[in-house]
Amino acid sequence: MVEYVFFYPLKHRFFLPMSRFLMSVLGKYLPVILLYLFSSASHATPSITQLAHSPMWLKLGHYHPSMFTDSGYTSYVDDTAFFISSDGDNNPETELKATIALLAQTLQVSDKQPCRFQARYLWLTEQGYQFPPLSCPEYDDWRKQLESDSLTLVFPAAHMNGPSSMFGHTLLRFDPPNVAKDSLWLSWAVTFGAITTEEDESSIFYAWKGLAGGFPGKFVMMPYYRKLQEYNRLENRDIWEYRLNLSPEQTAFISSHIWELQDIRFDYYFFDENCSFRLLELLELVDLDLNLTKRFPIVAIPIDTVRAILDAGLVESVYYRPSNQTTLQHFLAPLNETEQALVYDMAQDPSLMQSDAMSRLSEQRQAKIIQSSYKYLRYKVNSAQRSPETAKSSLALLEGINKLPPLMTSSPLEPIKPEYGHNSSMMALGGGHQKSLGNYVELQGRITYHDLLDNNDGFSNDAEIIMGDVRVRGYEDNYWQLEQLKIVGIRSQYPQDRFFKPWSWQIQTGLERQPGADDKQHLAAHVNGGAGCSLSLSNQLKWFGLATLRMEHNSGFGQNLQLAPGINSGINSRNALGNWRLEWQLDQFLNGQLRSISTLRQQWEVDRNNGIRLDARYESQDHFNNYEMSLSWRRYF
Amino acid sequence: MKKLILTTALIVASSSVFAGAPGGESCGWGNMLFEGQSGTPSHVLGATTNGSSSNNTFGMTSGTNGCDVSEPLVYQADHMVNISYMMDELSEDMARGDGEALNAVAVMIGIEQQDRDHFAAVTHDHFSQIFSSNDATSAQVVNNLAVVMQNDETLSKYIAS
Repeated sequence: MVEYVFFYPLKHRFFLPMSRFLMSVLGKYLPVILLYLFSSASHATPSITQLAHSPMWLKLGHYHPSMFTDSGYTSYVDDTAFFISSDGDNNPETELKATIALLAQTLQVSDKQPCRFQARYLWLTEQGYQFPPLSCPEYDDWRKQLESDSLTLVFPAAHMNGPSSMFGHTLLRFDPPNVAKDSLWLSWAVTFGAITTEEDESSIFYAWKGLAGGFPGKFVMMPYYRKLQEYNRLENRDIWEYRLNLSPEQTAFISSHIWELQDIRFDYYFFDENCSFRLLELLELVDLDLNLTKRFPIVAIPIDTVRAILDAGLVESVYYRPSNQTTLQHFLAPLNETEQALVYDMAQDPSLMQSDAMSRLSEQRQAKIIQSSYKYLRYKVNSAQRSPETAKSSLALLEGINKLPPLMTSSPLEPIKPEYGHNSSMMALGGGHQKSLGNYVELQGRITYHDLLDNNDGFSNDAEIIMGDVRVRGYEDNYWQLEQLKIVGIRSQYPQDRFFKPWSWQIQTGLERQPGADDKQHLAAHVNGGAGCSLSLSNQLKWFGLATLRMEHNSGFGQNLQLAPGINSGINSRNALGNWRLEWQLDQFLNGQLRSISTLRQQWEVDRNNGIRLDARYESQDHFNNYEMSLSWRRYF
Repeated sequence: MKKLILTTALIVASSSVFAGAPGGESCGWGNMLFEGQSGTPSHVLGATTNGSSSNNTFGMTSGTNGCDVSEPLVYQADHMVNISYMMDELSEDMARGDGEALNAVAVMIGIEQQDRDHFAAVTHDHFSQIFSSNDATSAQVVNNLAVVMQNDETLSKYIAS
């Protein structure tokens, strides 16, 4: 037992996200050590010990290896209601013993009901235990309501102008036995999320608590149509549905475990213990050896968890549900300028349905215009309070639709599936030339996710989200230096048009080499943000213009901390190789320094996970000027 | 067979007494057409949590219709259909004569597979009768729907008066 001296018997959640990888490695060996220790102790019952360390029992208890507990395990669950034994959260074996006693009804614990532990009951019965039959009418009712024999993993993708949701989200849907016949709208959706109060939402710590684990996370069930309304309609996110090939028995087992998790609290962490990670834990229950979570020691990005499920061969088919906005855009696309103007005006004034301009059109065209107009009106008032005027216009338009023959129209074309997008992390190796320091090699690594030029398939090409992007340069005389560290960078540049008016905005923070007033480059810390708009100049060509504000701490400035209002503008487009972008940033520092940076970038999309980037840059500030050009190979992994 | 009941007697015209309606006050019988969705969470703030501000997290306390019910929406042994939270989609589908909200309502009422096209056609033809005003509440719409169905030879069998 000397080994235990090395392990602090202390559960300290704060360290877990960072060290889970380390622990999972240790975890491989710990059970072996433990088994050895226990089997050498003559009083232990080997079968219980073995059972307590069986992958399925560990999954049912949400146990993971831990250095801080005597058992070598601790549970992700942060709720005493989930455990029967008082130290059940840190000890799979005592929890197993208590479970067996409870189900055998030899243990009376006032606040623990055998009916609560349906999955444990099922699994232990399979292991050969014989318990008195359970009578659980509440559970039976719930299962009847659920009425499901298959599961679908639902992935709402990013939503327009909200790159912070670019990571997406996942939830599970319980489908009825006859999917084709019955309504998926009425299927149940299970989602894991932070439970917050209105008070929380008005707090400035809201986002931080979401990241750092200050909120309780729970499983929530609701009819699927409520989720469709939330994502497809309210947030205008396209939804991808991955129908899983699980058997009715596997589905039932997962259901029974979700019952065990009713109202049970986990701490919610945005990056690792998030919605997608918890769903993977549920899906792991279908097979003893299935380990989906091991791929995500640090970060569980929803699309990566979708890929894990695809790689495990769990997906039968994929279905695309366009958002209301995508559908509206699809309706508008074939209309000419006059017709689009008519759609726009009619949403304000439905009496235009009777105008001469309308009567000249075919009935099919009329139907398309009125439906577009209705969809546009509803889109506009999506999150607004109900008003009698729009209600009146809406009904008038619906009556117009009702009088015309049904519209024959196709569904929006399915875009490239998000799982075919480039992988979420990236490393790059490149070489270039800088005016004063000469030739260099550059190494770059990025934790996640996608910049405006990266390989386009499966992503929106109008939004960028970068976390943890570092570039290091080595110059000819073997002089190495940190060139740039981007901690966070978010840019959203969806073009505006007659119907859609999203703001373009950006925020970036990190370290980069910038000239000071001494005309030398320094590693400067900065935060900058901007707001403006973006317009389509032609089918492919887009212009953007933003007013920016930059705060920079540069040791080359007399007064180190400087503020600079500025302008960010340019054009971006696509050619046969990939995305390209010409950009100009002007910063007028309040100390009088005027900085101008022009960049031209071109991506060559070699294949899904490889790209080549050309980067040309010219910078001037007072008497300082510098140019550099580089070519790099980007590998997404 | 499930039957849709006429709700006239059930839902008192005054909106203040919805507490007495099946599923209670939060069941949305007083929801008006084109209510939209209220309580939009801030995207920026909501981004880190996928949050839910409801205490009502699990199926047993929220029926298929999003009502607070500890018992299913059954009244006098007949099936009660609540469209409170899908009225916007339903009105559009009925106007067009097709769609998933329309199908969901048909399933909720218990309309058999072979009668669903007919249900879609009838509700399309009687759109203005079902959605008689832009201030129609979901209780009124269900009621109008029941009247339309009762007057239809094929669909009347789904109505218990």
